[in-house]
Amino acid sequence: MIRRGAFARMEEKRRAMAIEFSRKDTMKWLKSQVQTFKTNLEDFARIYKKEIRKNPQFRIYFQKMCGNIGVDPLASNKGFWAELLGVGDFYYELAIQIIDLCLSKRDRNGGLVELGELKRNLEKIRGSGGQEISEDDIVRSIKTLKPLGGGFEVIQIGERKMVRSVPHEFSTDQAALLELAQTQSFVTKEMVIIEKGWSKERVDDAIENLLSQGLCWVDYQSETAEYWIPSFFDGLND
Amino acid sequence: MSAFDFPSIYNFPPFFTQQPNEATWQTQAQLWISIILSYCRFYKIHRLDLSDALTTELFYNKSINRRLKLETLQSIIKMMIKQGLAEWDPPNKKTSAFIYWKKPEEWATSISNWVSENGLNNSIVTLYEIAHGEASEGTEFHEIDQAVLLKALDVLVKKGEAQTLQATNAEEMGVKFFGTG
Repeated sequence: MIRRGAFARMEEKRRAMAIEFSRKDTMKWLKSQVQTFKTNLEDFARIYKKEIRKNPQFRIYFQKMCGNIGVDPLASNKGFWAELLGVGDFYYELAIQIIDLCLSKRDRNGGLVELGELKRNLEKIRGSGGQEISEDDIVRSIKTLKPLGGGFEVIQIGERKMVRSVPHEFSTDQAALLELAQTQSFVTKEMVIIEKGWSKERVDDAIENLLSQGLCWVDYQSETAEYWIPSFFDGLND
Repeated sequence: MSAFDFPSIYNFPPFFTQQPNEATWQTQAQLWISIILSYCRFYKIHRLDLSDALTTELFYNKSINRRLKLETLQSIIKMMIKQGLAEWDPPNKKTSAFIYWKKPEEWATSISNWVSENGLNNSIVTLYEIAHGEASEGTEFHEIDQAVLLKALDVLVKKGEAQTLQATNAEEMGVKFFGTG
């Protein structure tokens, strides 16, 4: 019994050591692989520098490759990647334009704008000579704004991706109303009562909240008052 | 003449209802002001009769069947007056207003430039010639409202750059400009 116990302990120790060795090897191997990959990625970036800057689809792929090995070309504006690619400047410039646009429309839409609409407007101000941009670029730029604390964030409302430029979160009820308004760009109180089964007071409260934050406009000239969400109304930005 | 191109917000139904939220209303009114000014500039309108105007496309969007209310328009005009962009006419009634897509001071500058360019300084020009004459064709003040023209000339008179000479009716009234050139 004693011998068997000692043997078992020895065997256990041996196994653990083997695992430890193989783990060390694997780590070593992995490290060298990542290093190779990084070098390759750098070469790749050097060669395709122009393409990365110019072609938004290409940029998405490149960002994904970088993300896979934990390299963030945007992490530092002075970093190797930013210097090599100039992408830091690219996203910085884009971010400034996003802030400008969102702020100039905030009084009208309460600080909520659809991502696609924002992209169309960005393209307008960048002109035809500017670099092409994708929605992915916009989302990345907005992420770089987060540390500034202005509340810039991409949020999902139903099927739409929206950019919010005000620092407050939406309440569950507000979010529910926004989601309900998606198909027609508006809600009526009756609609909400039927769809959500809320009490009249709860509906009044939620709509009052949207109105006071400038997120919806009321139309009294229809049969029953309609509460319109300007950011859902197509093309409402010129 | 091509038609006036309304901005997209003109098709947004709530745009025709005065918004209860103060900040939203301020934005809404500013958007209306900019539409009114560009519309009047486009069609060279200098004076709006409010009830008449409310039945025109400017304040009545037939395609969505929405129209602005008189009280709302009056509030908008009041804001324009504060910004020097309109004036009640007559002053004590809130039924019609001059719309200054150019302020009287700006009209004064345009007119005095035109006078210099055409070598009309030190000669007498009638109001009719300024507003309807061949020489003013193609200028923005061609077909200008007489009352607005008088306000513009008044600016020049007060600056000592012109002198008005009375006649039996306003159109025959003459102006002498003392500019150089």
